[in-house]
Amino acid sequence: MAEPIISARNLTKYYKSPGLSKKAIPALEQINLDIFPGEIIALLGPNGAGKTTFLRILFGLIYPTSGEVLVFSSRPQEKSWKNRAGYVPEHYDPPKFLTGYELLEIGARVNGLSKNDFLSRLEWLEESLNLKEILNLNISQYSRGMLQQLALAGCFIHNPELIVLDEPTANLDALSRKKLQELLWEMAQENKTILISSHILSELEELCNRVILIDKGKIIQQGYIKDLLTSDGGYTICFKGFTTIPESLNALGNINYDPKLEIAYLETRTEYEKDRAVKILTENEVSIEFIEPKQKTLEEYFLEILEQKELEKYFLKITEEGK
Amino acid sequence: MNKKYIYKYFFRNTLHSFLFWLVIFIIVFEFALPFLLKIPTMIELSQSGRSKLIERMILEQLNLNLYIFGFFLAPALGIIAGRALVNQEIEVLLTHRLSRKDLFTSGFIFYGLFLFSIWLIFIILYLIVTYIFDHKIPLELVFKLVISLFGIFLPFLWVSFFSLNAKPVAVILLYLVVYLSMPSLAGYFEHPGNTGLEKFLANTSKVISIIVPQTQSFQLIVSPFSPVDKTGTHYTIFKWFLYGILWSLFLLLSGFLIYQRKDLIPHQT
Repeated sequence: MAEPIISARNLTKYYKSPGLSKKAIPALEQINLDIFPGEIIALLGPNGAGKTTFLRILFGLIYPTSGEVLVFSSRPQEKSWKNRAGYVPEHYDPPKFLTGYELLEIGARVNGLSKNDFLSRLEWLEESLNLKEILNLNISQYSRGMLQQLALAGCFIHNPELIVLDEPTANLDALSRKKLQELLWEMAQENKTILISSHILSELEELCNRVILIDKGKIIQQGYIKDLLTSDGGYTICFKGFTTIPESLNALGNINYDPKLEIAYLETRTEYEKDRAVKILTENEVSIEFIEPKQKTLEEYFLEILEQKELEKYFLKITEEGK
Repeated sequence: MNKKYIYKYFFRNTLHSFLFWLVIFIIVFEFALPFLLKIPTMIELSQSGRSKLIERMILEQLNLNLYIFGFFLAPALGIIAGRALVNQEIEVLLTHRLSRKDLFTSGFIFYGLFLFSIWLIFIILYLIVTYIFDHKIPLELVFKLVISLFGIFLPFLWVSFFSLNAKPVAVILLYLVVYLSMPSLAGYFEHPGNTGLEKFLANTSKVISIIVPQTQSFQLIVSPFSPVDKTGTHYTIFKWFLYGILWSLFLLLSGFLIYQRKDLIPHQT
């Protein structure tokens, strides 16, 4: 098995609470994970879950309270690996006294790119991210969307193997969002390792192959996206060739009717409901087009897990109160 | 790694700073230009019978300028240097192949060279004046000139190191309060038959005086031609030299401790 690109062991981070109080606020607790070359990972979690803290530790911008994380087998604060990685932070605050071009040039050159390589990469990025009109402007004149485009360009300029994106589509318009998606697809084909934290789960669902779910500083679930999103008993039954939809079907799930195609979809929740529906449809001589296991969306999965956690917390609380 | 681009960053950062332009304005229009414009008059006066007295007055004026530079302008540059290293903007650079150590060393080299070049302007002015008035430069004076570098660098380093972890206003206020009050405090509490508390306060302020330049001693360090050291002996010069070394060690230590603290982002919770 290949060496992991990112490897975290018992990674813990506490922030000092503001003021004189000695109370520490936990941001990450005992995080253990490995990320391997070529993986495209969605880092999910509600606000304040610890995602940004984890990413900032990866790049040595803040230091863990305890535990260890290695990136390309090096400590985050070592600079040796930084030219192999690119990072788009959640709050991108570049120096305002430079132009976009100057900032990208500084980044590329300290990462070891020659002038010619820098210029050819820049030409490609101008096209891919629609940067042409903004690069010669002073950064102080940039809108939030432009800043995000510049952050992405700064991340990709040196053609890194590892790409870490914290809310990359924030502030981007629809066209830039689409361009970024295409760019990420292209990079995924090049076998690059991509770690994305985003709230727009539909974008991640198509791109990512693994999901790590963090809540309150802890990993609460992780796995391959295809395993996590598979059906837990639900099915979609597509049928047509009926005058009226049999009433008894209504009790077995939601029915969506497409009058144009004269086709209906029944979404059942369990295997039993599916079998019952098939029986009713056959008895009424309705033609079944297909039956397929229902696939959860990433958003549904995410909300389900969080709701489960909330319920667990609630039950724990009432059990303790009962004692 | 191409360090040229880090220096480019610091250079652009400096040009963006109001304080920098203020320092440049004062150096050019208050210190250098008036002297250079008066060179023909100086040459004329150097032939007169009062040339020694006039030379002394001009050198005193230069001493005062160097003192102002060390007291006000070097700390201002210290703030620019310190803030350039802790600004949130520096994070964008840290995500590239740069370490904090690179930024620290490059930043201090850049601003240090800048400070050094201003000090050189003063030395050139001193040399012009002494050349016009045919003043011999003994080895002792050269030594004093070199020591005067401490008087410029110490407040610069003091303020820049502490600007890394505190707001500039707080650093400057502390700098001024300690600078102006500490020397007199020690003397005030030191008298025959002082109480234990007075002894404690006198000693404490003496200790603090070691780590913060005192007004009078500072003037000795920065002003090679100052009459204050006219009565001084080699021992006095040696004493101030040691004082400078001690200061430098203290600053190096505090710089190291700040570097060890590792997260350069100030006021981070």
